Amino acid sequence: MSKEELECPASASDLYLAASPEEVEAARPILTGDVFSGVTVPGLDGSGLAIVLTHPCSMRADGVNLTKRLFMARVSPSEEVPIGKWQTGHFKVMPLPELLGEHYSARFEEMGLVESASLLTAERVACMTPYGVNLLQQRFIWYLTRFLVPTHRLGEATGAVFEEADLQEEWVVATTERGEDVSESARAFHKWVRSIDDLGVSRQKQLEDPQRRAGLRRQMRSHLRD
Amino acid sequence: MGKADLIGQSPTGASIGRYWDIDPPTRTISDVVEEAGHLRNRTKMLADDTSQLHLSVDVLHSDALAVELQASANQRAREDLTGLLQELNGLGFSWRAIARIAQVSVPALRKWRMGSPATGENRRRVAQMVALCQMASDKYLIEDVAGWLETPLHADAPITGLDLLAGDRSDLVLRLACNRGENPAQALDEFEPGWRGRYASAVEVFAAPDGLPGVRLVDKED
Repeated sequence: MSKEELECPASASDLYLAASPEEVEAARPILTGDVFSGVTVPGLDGSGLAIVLTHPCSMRADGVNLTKRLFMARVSPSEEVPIGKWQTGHFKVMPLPELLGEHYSARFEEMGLVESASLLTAERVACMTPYGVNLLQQRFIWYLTRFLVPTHRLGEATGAVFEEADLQEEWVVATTERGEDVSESARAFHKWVRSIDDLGVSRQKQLEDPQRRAGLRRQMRSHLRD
Repeated sequence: MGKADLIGQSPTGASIGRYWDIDPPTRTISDVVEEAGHLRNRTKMLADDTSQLHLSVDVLHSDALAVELQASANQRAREDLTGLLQELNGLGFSWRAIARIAQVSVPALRKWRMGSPATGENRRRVAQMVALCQMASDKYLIEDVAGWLETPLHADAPITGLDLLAGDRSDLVLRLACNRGENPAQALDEFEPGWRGRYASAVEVFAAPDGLPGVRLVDKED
């Protein structure tokens, strides 16, 4: 791959954690790359599928609650964009192959600010992998500026946020299975992850170091068992 | 050589009574050069033979490790799948990482955890991951196997041990684990030739004034 070319996935499965509503884990916090159905984007006609574009680091002002509005782009059916063509064209879209079993694209020319409260009741139909979100960000930055940022650098900047989302999902699934309320569970997780552990370091801070993430998962799983 | 020794060497008249040593007849410079060349050739052959032997033993060791891993994986594959997944969970792996190594989606892995059956090949991949972690921990004393596998192998690339496993190169992971003086860069050369060029970047991550991470061009004057 030339360093002047955008990157592309090896296959569609590299893009999604969930590619249909049945696959979406409801306990997963809303994140960049999530696709919702029935979304009205101000400035655009009608309602339909839309994807969250707001950067993962800035979508929660207090780290817990979503900001009032999220930046979203319309997702609509499209022709299949062959993987090999991602690198040299189709710069106005993020191809979303095999989403809901069809081919869709997120359209960077059709964007707007959506009330985040409306997403809490909307149906989430897909979630992206960290690599998928990195590709989305790479194409969006390229669309705006024609500046190419390697996906591994984007991943370096946002890796800790994805790890925290994974942990929150696991925490909420485990505690709600025991009968706890989802919102209460999410709040308890945020309190735990922002607290200082025995080493005197914030758990959230530890997530920034790939070497310490496994240890933190063990810590959390042990905490949930006790 | 002492003075007394000289007496037995048919001294000439001029040498009798002299107090300094006299060298015996010496070889010519050509003799020395020839001998040094011969010695160099012999040591080179010895080094080549040793190097060849090292490579052969290296391959033998890798093959033996692969056989041991396979035997261990076959044994573990007979166990209950949910138990194997729980063992990996206990080591600290994320479900996302386990799904990637097993080559299934996260939702499919979620179904396995609930007791849905997996194909033989998927089960084998999970069992192999468990067996490898056990070998790394028991045999090579790696304390935090999951943390070790999630850490980039080299400062100049984001490739981790998990990437090697996902790419079916458990042999490279075991080679790194047993730490036979293997340079991680050599494993990366074998895994992804050209990795240095691919991951060399003019962009770096930095902490912005608001504390959030950002990306910027590397300042070449630094």
